Amino acid sequence: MTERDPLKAPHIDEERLAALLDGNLDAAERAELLARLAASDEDFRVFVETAAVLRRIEEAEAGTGPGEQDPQEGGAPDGAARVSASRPGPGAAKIHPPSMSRRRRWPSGFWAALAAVLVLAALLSVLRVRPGSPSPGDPGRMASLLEERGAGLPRGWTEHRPWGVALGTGDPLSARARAVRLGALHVDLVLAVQARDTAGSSRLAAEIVVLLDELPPAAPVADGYRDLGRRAGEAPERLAGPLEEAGRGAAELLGEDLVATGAWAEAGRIAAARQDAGFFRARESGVALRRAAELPSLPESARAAVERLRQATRGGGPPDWGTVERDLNELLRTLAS
Amino acid sequence: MLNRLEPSDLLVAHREWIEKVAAITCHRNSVWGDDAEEFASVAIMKVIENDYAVLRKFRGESDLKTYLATVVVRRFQEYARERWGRWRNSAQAERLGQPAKDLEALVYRDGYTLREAIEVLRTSGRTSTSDGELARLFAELPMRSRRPGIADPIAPDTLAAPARADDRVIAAEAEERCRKVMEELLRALTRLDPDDRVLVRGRFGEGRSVADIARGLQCDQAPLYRRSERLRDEIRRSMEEAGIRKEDIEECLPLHDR
Repeated sequence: MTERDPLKAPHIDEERLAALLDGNLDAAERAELLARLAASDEDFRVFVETAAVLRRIEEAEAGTGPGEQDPQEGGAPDGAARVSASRPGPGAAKIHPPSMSRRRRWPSGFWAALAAVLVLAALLSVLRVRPGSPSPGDPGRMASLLEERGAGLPRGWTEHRPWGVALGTGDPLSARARAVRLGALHVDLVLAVQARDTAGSSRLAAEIVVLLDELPPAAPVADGYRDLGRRAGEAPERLAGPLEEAGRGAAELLGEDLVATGAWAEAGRIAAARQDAGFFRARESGVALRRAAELPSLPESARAAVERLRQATRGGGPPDWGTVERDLNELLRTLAS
Repeated sequence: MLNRLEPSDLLVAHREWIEKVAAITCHRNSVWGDDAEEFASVAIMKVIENDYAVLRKFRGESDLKTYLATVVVRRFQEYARERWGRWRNSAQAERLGQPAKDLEALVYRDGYTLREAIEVLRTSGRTSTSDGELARLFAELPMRSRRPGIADPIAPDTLAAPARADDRVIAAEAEERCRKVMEELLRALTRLDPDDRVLVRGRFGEGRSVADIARGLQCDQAPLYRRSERLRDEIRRSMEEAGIRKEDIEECLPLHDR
């Protein structure tokens, strides 16, 4: 069996489809499922095909015939008479070139486009913001504190995460670890997109989707990241809006403070690797450190790392980059493991 | 319910139902004979595999029969993809009915010539329609690419002349017009509520019958007809207001069927 592509939306569970077909869902559940169906390909086919099969069986059992035709159609059981009546005389049989065929199936990519539009619409309605408006909840804003935003990620950066454990192989993630990891990965994704790193963007989006797919309520946000993964390589300015919306949606779901802390720590690690002192002098960095210090149930080692970071970045001169890097790694390791 | 019955007993109790759903699904998708028999076994295996996982994970949110029907139909989609690739009948074939779907599958999926396909349908008792009617029905279908090595489906003297260079230019212009139509359609669909989106997609996008859609949405057919007509008119109107020409809508969108 092939492994599921995390950039593809998961199938709707058969029992949910069956509950829809039986009329067993409440109004909100029904509307949510129909919205997903209308924008999906395979699930939609399973839904309408099962409906057709059930109708046929039910009508046969009720003695109302096989029921392949709609009442308005009348006439021929297999559609032939209807065709015959609408056709010109013999000799008219002709095959049109595909592009000139008058009647075509709506293109398959059409439904993916519809899904993407609906996901964005849903995000916008949930977040009640206009695109381009100030976005304090966007974890990607931490990446904007870096001096060289188009430089991409340092070589081999994504191969060694501070939290160390490969996704999906350990115990279930805590809510805190998930939020902090998402913040960190989102910053990496922003930088990969800004550097037009197609492979990196796609991989990072997929990593985030895996994190979110384990949470059913996160499905619309995961779809936003899926879309970003599919669009990897597009111009950064085209992806900026969807990136911001996805990041805000994730922060809203997982906890803004934790996601922002993960994002700041990851951006800080990159700043330390580049010896970018401006990042730590920015007002937003001071706010992020204060927020980290106030996180509830902050482990002692993380608290100590935060305090050292505040001391190290308080002075006017360049900090000890080795110490800063070590403390940021410690902060992420503790919060994201 | 499930915790009192062993999954194997449940399978015995529902085996006939699974086979019925499998047979109807095959029939609807122009699969019969050995292939249909094979799929019936595949459907049963789907329920048995992994220690009856399909039955064990059933939570009771729906009727078990409906659930099993959904599982079988999903498995059919996978089976068909494994056997024939991503085969789907065209929306036009869906609209024209079972003989058109059968012809399209036999010719474009299985590689029969049109004459052979008609013979297969006749000898298997799947149609009593005349050869001429079936040929005309086939001509109503959009041309589809066939697998490498498979000959043309109909005799050369009934084929249209090969496309010329100016035909290709006209076709490219038509594609561009249709792209604009589809963009506007996308905007119109996002304004609809989920029920209406499913209705419009099912009826006009996939060529499904209103009766099937009504069964899926659990509502009466007659109002659904009226609603779909109203939606079609609204979509047309909004597209025309957005500057799309009526002729382009007619050319690109099957909004006028059924």
